[in-house]
Amino acid sequence: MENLLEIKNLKVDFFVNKKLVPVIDGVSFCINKDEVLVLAGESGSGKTLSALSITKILPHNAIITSGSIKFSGSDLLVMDEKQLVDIRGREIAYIFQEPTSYLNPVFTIGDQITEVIMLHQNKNKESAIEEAKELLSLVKIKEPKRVLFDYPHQLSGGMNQRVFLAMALACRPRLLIADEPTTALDVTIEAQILQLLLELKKTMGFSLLFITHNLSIAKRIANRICIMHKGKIVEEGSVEKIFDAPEHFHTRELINAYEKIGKL
Amino acid sequence: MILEVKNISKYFTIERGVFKAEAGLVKALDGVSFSVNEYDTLGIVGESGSGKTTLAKIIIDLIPATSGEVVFAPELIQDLRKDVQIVFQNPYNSLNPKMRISEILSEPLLIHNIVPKPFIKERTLELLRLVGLDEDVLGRFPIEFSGGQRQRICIARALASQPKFIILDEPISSLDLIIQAQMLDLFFELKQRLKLTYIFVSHNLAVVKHIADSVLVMENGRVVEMGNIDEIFYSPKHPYTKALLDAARS
Repeated sequence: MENLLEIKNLKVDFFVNKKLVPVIDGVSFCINKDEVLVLAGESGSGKTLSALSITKILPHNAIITSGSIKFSGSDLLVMDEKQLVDIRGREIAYIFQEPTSYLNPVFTIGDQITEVIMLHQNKNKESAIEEAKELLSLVKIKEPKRVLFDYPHQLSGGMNQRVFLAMALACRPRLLIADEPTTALDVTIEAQILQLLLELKKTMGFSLLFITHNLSIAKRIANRICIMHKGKIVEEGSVEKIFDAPEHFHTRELINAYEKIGKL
Repeated sequence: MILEVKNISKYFTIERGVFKAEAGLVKALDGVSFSVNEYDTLGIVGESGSGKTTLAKIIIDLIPATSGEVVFAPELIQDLRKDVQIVFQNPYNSLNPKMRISEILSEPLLIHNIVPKPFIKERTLELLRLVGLDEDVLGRFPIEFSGGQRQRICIARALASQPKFIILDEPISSLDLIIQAQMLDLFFELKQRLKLTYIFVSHNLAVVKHIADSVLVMENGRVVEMGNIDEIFYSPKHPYTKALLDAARS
């Protein structure tokens, strides 16, 4: 199978009080084409930071100290900002946990989606609006025409996450990074969004890096799971291996907690 | 029966403009009735906005109900503020950041005259041991603790007045999975040891299944179904309960 993304020995430090504090400590993993890789772990284990490192959208006090991140062959870490801008959003897109705080409250949904399309695809406003409408129906928003003129605060959390997803998929990315996209949503909405993600993955053919602390979601959607703990990947394997024969102490601890209260 | 909630409704008016003209009515709770037996744990589940927390606040008289009645058994609960306590979801904003842990824990002891003054230190240490914290935390401030530790402090504070009834409003939702499992064990142990009655509010069905004896399912301010664990989880009747279970199982 072809590697779409290959991260080798990534190390990220935080600059705190004039000292370097390691937060990602030698993380390596790869994502194959058409694969769903789940990065699971507790809060503060370095999941999100690993994902943000991929296109270097890190907080300003974070420094990548070593490692390589190869995306279809080319190393993202040696690219300059201009080359990265072309990759971000077009080849690698993100969706995050709290859609309402990533959408701009003073612009309509239509403005925000067309901005992405016009920036990356050199289209004029009219065709961008048409495209935006199509995208909204793609993510199963019922009245795309009306929603285009709505502001984020007029929509529910689940609707906003669909809008966010539509924006992320606007340029048909090859890799979608979903960072806890359903954590802020109710369980019934969560199930809908997960199903939508998997459906779109099939029809549009992107690979998915899914970050979650929720092991039942990991079990539901993953092809492979990496368990992170304190800035390291402590265990990697198929769903069966992680759930039925966990090797690392921390994985076992997580699975035990999951068996007890995460499972219905 | 330790608590009986009779036909509680809570309406919030939406005000508009400078003169606060009434622009609408939100029915946060609409005719909610149920009862809780002594030493039982009642789980209240529902999605966000279904009225769970509003209900908890009305039971403990933090906000008034629009209509209806909350009745605690008078022979069991004499002083509402002492005998009924609440633990909130977010331990980050339910502890006073300017108070040391020793002050946080001794305040309810002083207010309710639980122990004579010279014994207060001893009693706070006892409370810490109950929730599994070391005595060296006493001089520290809330900011120095993790979420799980803070929630333990909140529980210790709730236990200080020797309550008989504790409302746990999403007490573990903001914690990591492993810590959640530990906290559930702690709630269980405390319940046995101190003979407590719980209301456990949660949106997580798996957690409720683990800790509750009976379950109340809420949707849009109404009770759609109530029953014991087996009834709710293995033969749900209401379509909303089924949808919740399906979503959690799929």
